[in-house]
Formats: sequence, C-alpha cells, structure tokens
Amino acid sequence: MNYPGRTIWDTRVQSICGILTAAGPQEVEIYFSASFAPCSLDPPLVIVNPNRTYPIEEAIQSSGRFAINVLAHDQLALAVRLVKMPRRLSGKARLLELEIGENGLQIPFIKNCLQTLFCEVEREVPSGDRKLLVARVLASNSSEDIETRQPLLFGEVTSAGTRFPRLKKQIRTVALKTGLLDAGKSFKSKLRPPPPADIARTTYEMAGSTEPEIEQLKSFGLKDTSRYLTPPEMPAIVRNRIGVCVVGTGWGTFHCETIRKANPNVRLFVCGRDPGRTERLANAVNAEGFFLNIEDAAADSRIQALTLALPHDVHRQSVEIVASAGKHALVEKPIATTLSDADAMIAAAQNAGTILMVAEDMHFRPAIREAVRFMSSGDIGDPLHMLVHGGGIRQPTGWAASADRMGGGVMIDIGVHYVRAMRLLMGEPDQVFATRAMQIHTKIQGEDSVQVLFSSKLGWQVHMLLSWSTQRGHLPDIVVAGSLGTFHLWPGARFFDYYPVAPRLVTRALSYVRPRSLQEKLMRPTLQQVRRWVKDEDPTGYRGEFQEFLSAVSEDRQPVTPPQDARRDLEIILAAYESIRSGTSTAIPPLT
Amino acid sequence: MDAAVAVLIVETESRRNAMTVSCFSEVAHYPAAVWVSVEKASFTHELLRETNRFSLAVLNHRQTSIARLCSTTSGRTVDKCASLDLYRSQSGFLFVQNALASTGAEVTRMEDIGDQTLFVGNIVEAEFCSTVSNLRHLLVSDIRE
Repeated sequence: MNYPGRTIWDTRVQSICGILTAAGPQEVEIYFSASFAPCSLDPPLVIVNPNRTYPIEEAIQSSGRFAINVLAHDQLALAVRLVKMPRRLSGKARLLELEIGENGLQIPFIKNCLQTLFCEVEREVPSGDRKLLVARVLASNSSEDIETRQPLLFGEVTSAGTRFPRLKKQIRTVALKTGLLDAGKSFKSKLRPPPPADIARTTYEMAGSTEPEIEQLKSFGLKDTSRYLTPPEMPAIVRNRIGVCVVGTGWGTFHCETIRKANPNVRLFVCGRDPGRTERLANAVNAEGFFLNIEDAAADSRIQALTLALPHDVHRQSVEIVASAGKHALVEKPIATTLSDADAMIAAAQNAGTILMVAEDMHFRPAIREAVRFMSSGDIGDPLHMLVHGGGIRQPTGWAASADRMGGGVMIDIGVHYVRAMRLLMGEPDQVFATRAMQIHTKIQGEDSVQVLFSSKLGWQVHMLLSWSTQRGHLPDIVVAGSLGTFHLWPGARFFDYYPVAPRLVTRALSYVRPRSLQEKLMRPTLQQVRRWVKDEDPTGYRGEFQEFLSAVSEDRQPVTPPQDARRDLEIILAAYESIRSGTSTAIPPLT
Repeated sequence: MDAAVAVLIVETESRRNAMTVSCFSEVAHYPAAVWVSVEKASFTHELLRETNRFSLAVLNHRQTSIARLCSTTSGRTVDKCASLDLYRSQSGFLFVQNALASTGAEVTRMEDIGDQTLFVGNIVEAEFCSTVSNLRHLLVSDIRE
C-alpha cells in the first residue's frame, strides 16, 4: 500500500551513514550524516550538507578540509549515541571513546571505519538552511574487511533508538506480511484523520530553520564550552592504615563516622579545644588518641592527614599550620571567606608539597554523576534551566551566627554546595543576580533567605532558592530541565527521576481516552516519570569525598577535585554577595 | 564509496526516460529539497533541462533488475519507462511501484560541476510503499555483485 510522504525522511534519500570529522579550533569536531553522496566519479567529487547550527560547519569552513568516515553496520550503537548527543556538547569524540587519527593531509579521521574519504571543499552551494559543500576526494582508505562488512543505513539508526529494536522489527515484519500494519494505519486514520501531506511545511516544522532562526540559534554559541568540571566515579575504599586526625568536635563528629566507613582500617584521632568534649568524642568513635590543639596534632608522627571541621574564618590559619607540618588537609567548605585566604591556603599546600582538598559532597553525589552522564547522552536535550531549593529550617548559633566568621549566611554556607552542582551539571555562569527576602532569624547576622539567578551567555539559567527560614517539603533539591526532558534529583536518595518530553506509552494510550473529562482524571505527570536507580552505597557523596581524600593520601597523588575548584565556587558566591550589595546583576569573573 | 541506488524519471510533453542514479541525496530541510547529479551527455540531462521536474524512486535491494534495466540502455532509443511498473502521483509525477519511496521535485537550481550538472529540486510530493518498508536500500555494491 502506498502512503503519502509527510517529511523529507519519508523520501528515503538518506541512506549510508557516516561521521564527518574536521579540525576545529578547540578539538576535532564530529557530525553524524546520512546525506553525503558522490556527485562525480571523474574527478572524484562528493557532496555533504552539514547542519549550519552545528560546529562542524565552521570547522570545515576554517580548514577547508574534512573526512567522511563511512560507518559499518556493526557501528550502529556508536551512531545512535552520536545522534542522541546534544547539538552543542563539547568533547563528543572523547565521550564516544573514538580513536581519532590524522593522515598526511592533516585531516582528522576515525579509525576502524568501513571507509574514509579525505576531502577538500571546492565549492559551496547555498541551499536554504543547509549549504551543499562540493568537495574533491583527495585520498581514501578502506578497512581490510570492507568486502564483508555492510555499511550502516539510516533506517537502522532511526529504528534503533527505541527499546527492543529487534523485537519491534520482527513484530513489524509480521504485521506487514499479514496486512495488520495497513489495517492498523487505516483504522488510526479513521479515528484521527491526518491532515493532508505537506512535506515542505512538516519538514520545516520538525527540523527546518529560516535564516533568522539560524541566526537566533547561533547567537547562543555553537558549542557549549562552559562545562569543564566532570563528576568522578565513586572512589574505591582504601584500606591502608593511615593516621587521620579530625579537628573540630561539632561537625567533626560526622567526619569521624564517615572516615570509619570510608576506611575501616584508619587510625583515628580527634582534636578539639574543649577537653571534656574532645575526650568524649574520642571515646565514642574509638579514637587512638586526642589532642587539644591543632599544632600538636599536626606534629604527631602517627598522623599523616587532618580533616578540618572548623569555623570558616580559621580555615586559612589551620591549613597553614597543617601544611607547615608537612601533613595533608581536608578542609570543610567553603574553602575560606575571602579569595586572598583561599589563595594563601593553596599556596601553603603547594609550597609544602602536601594535599589540600576541600570537602564538597556535591562533587561526589552519585545522582549528579549519573545525571551528567545521561545529559551527555542527550536525554534532556539542550539543558536550559536548573532549579535549586536548598537549606531547610536552621538557626545557626555561635560562630555560625556571625556574618564575619561565617563569611555571610545561607548563601555561602549552603549556596556553595549548589554552585558546585551547577558547575557540574550546567557549567560556568557569566552573570549573577541575587536578592534577599525578609530576615526571619534576626539573631543571625548573615542572610537567612536568598534567591540567586545565574545566567550563561550560552543560554542557560540557574535559579537557587536558599533558605534557613522555610521548609522545602517533599520536593527535589535540584531540578534540571532541558528541551527534551527534566531530571529531579532528591537529597539523599538512591535514585533520580527522569521526565521525558516525548510522551511515554501510557501517556500516548491515555490520549485516546474519551470523554476528555475522564482522560484529564487519568492523566498525571507521574505517568511520565522514569525512576533511575543509582547503585552507589552512599547516595549523599559524603563518603565519596572522604574516600577520595584518603585514597589521594595513600597513593600520594592530588585529589580529583583540586582546591582551585573550591576557590572558584567561592568566587562565584562572592559575586552573588556583590549583587546583593549593589542591587544589580554582577558579572562573574571568567574562569582562568 | 558505496551509495544507494535510485531511478531518476524525467518526463516532458513528448518524451520520457528513466535512468539509474547513485549520485543523489538530501539538500536542506527548509526548503525541503533533494539534489541529483546527472551527466551532461545523457538523455535524461537533456530532458531535465527542458522540463525542470523529476521523480526520484529510491529502490529496495530486491529491485536490482530495475536498476540494471535503467542503466544499460539509452533512453534515446528505447522507452525504458514502458518496462517499469509506474503509476502517476497526484501532482502528475511518475512513481515506481514498490520502490522504497518515490519523490517528485521541481528544479530550483542547476550547478555546473564538470561533466555533470547538479540539479537541486524542492520536494513537491513523495510516497512510500508500506509493504517494502522493512527492506533495505539497494546499494551500488549489490549491483556490482
């Protein structure tokens, strides 16, 4: 049975698949294509039409050369992964673990492909939202098994994006042969008569762009270069018998518990100013000993590292003492209350040749790591928004109630965590606007409620609501929304939720339910929820940060997150404070 | 380089021809357009210059006979279309029965590329056949074999 084609893809002119590669200014650009073809055999010419809103076009324009890497059928998974990746994502070749080579013509190419054609652009033919590039084939090479390997075809790529593709293909074949498919299509068109076919309009609506639209897309940048932090895998448990002293008997209690979990064989010591309290803690955590001042702890030969759970304003002094004793330090976040203190701490550790790590659980929170992984796979498309609701009911006392000693209020204490989360999930912001709500806890000097809006010239925004005066209730603390879906990250949960934009099977089925009042009753947003489980034992990231620190100490290496990362977090937070002071949007210094 | 195989059909008021091609693909999504490269010396080229309309039928891998038929004889002496199972589309294009898909296009641009001309055409109409939709494209390497 013949059906009218509704889009350009129904013409089946897209056939053999390949990846175009070209040398870009920062990295090798790669681009999936199923619309390249020879246009002349003598001289050997080919035509490609890369999408103008992808960085490959500029890379080809600047070098004038590119390679067509023809994919084999066995490279289907690679093609599917590349097709799903967000348009502006950086490091696609690295994420796909492609083996990139370069031939004598200085054209990067992908090894192990069916065939590679090395091309030089001879002519450009402007043609609507694409540009036909007519290129001469300078050289080519083929894999040794080209005769036995089948090329990958576009239809295989489009059908492989779904779950159970083989089963679906078999069902489709049976439905085709028995006529069920045609009967079903006929029934569906009677139920919901389709509009008359209009290939030009439908193709434009689905994937076409006018010149103003292309300019609009390009104005936000062709490449997202703002994300440079990468969440690490969960560090392994190290069982070396190293000596660690926890300094501080408040939050230090939590340090002791977490260190025991991170390394059961650790030789634990504690240090505090209050003799009774320090001794009680030492007994409670089965410590090998305790100290009443940090100098003694740092000087003790049984101790290789100290973790510092101290007031923010003494971080610098403490780190300098630890470093001068040649010991490693894990200091609580924020790294300090001023950038000059942070710089001095980093310099002290560098000069002493010791490790300085800042305890930031967000960096090791498994749900963030997994969310970033799925974002790189294209699950939520282009990331646009991140919403944060952090804090919780708390009324700090003692040093934490002092704005000078704390460095501020909820924004520095809690906000610094979410700044790291933002940098991992979205990237580096360019601007910040922050504003305070009415102060509820007047006995603390720092702000107890603040809203912060970060923005990037690349077109994404982050909104943080940080409060010690309001209750979040049952809400995720982080929501990341993109053009194709949304992630909900829950604090302390071993899962995160994914809400794809595309309707799931149940949602699609319910759209046929009539009357509409019944459909409205049955339709719920949770029907779109896909719960993704995180396997790590510790869902918070706290244990991960301690495991990483203890591993770094044992292996005598720098931790995966250097103190400069924490300095940058502080720099961003300080820009937000400047925004509160000035009442205007503040530019965040570029990352150097 | 391997490539998909199609039959290019061009019809003027008095003449028509079908020619096997492997030099074709998509141009753009706005406007939705395809390109096909045709040797200047060919009969099809002559007809295309005259009519500015063409049909492109992308063949499935069981249609090697059609590809061979339309590549071995000249349309100047034989009406190859008479041997094909053709039907007329709503917009008057000649489409091939049981091809993966047939597309009708109107030429908007011609580019000289040596001994070939590149014809760019806006898509007017297309049809695809459900009964062969699970078959793969016919490739140049299939015909060589």
